[in-house]
Amino acid sequence: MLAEINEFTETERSPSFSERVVNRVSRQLGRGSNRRSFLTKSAVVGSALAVNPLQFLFRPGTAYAALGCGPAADCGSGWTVFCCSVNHGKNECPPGSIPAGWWKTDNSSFCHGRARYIVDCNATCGGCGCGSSGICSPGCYNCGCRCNTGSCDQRRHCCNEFRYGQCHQELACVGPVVCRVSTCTAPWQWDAACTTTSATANATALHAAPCLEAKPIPKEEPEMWVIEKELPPGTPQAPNTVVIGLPANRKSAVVRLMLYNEKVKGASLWGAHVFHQGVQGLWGGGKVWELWLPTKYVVQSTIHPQAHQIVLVNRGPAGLPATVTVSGT
Amino acid sequence: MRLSAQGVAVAVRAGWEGRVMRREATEESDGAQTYAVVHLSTFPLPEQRGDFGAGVTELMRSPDALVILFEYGPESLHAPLFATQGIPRLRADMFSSARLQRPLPGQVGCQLFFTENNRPFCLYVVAGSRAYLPRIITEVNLVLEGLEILL
Repeated sequence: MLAEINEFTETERSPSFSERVVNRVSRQLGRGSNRRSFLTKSAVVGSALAVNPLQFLFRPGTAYAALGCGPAADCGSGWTVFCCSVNHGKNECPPGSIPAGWWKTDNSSFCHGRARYIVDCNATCGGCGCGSSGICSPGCYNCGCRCNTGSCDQRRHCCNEFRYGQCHQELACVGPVVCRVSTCTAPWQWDAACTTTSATANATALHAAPCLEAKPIPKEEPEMWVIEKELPPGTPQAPNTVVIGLPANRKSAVVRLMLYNEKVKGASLWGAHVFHQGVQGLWGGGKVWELWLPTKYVVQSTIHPQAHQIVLVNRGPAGLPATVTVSGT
Repeated sequence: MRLSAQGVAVAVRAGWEGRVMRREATEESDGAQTYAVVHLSTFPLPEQRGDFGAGVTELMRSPDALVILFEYGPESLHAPLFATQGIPRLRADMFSSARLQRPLPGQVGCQLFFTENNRPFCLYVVAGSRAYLPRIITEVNLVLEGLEILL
């Protein structure tokens, strides 16, 4: 049986820091009444997250609390329930199921800007065969399709006969997906039966469940620094640039971006053909690091330890400015 | 038109659209490896696509089809899951409304694992509706007929 998986790689930030950051941003959002601030407020109020977006942005350790169950949480959505919702709160494959495959979402707020991994726990089959389909027939496994109840995570349990296929390839057949484990640790690092072949499904980035919330662990509050800048809109031909110098001797740094205009969601505006997902994190060489703006409207990424400054380039069309927040210890 | 990249070549039929891609492995990917992913469809593919169709199948209409080829790493060679040799062909009895990554109303799907030229793959096909399945299967089998997986 798998060990219980710790959802987070870091402990929750202490309330005093979070309150300080949120208050600071709140003050910023509340200043003046120009078009920019109006757009900012509109984006915040109208956020598709349907949660407190500031809390979501700046308190990654409590992102689950802010989200509840996230989007597509009803049974009709077609997605599978999280294991902690059906397995006595445990974020692990329940008895009678095994990890059968996984996918990741990039730049996850649940994982402090790193990849979040979703592992499918599929039912085990008896001695049934299944040809090359990878999934055995009903009657070969010990669970039945149902909708979960008891929390907002009302997704499906033991319904979807699908196999991502990176785990337990020694088994030609498994049953349907019983539930999903969410983790910030790469699956092959906690289960040797999983391979490193990567699958991505960023559309599931905000799927959540209340039982995934990490328990706060008290720790000494680190000294924080925060830099905020606005990044004006640009075009592919005439990009706008903002340079942000980074504190020397910092221990860590994270950059977060919030686009004002939600219409960019799902659009291909930032050279996605070259950079695939648009959300690329930091890349480049030497002392200058460049972050291409993403197609999502909220992203975050860690900053390379050796970077002295970051250069942010907005190649989006007019009307798509962004707020950049760089913070760290 | 013929698409060819990542050691995969496929003829894109009239009325179809296709991409052959390999995602960039990022600094934050913890050592994850990426391989070829092919998306073929009878409808416009969005640029933001999950490898197995997340964010894509929601856009399908009843007559539409989505074909996905997803490659696994060489460590998967000879695993029982990939024991079937050769590019498979589809039959109607392989499809079910439950055989989907994300079951959506009306849609039916089919998933097959196989190895071709020492490269392990999953073929995943989504049909917008069972009513159009015979035509979709005929077309997808023609697509598979023109698929080449190179060494």
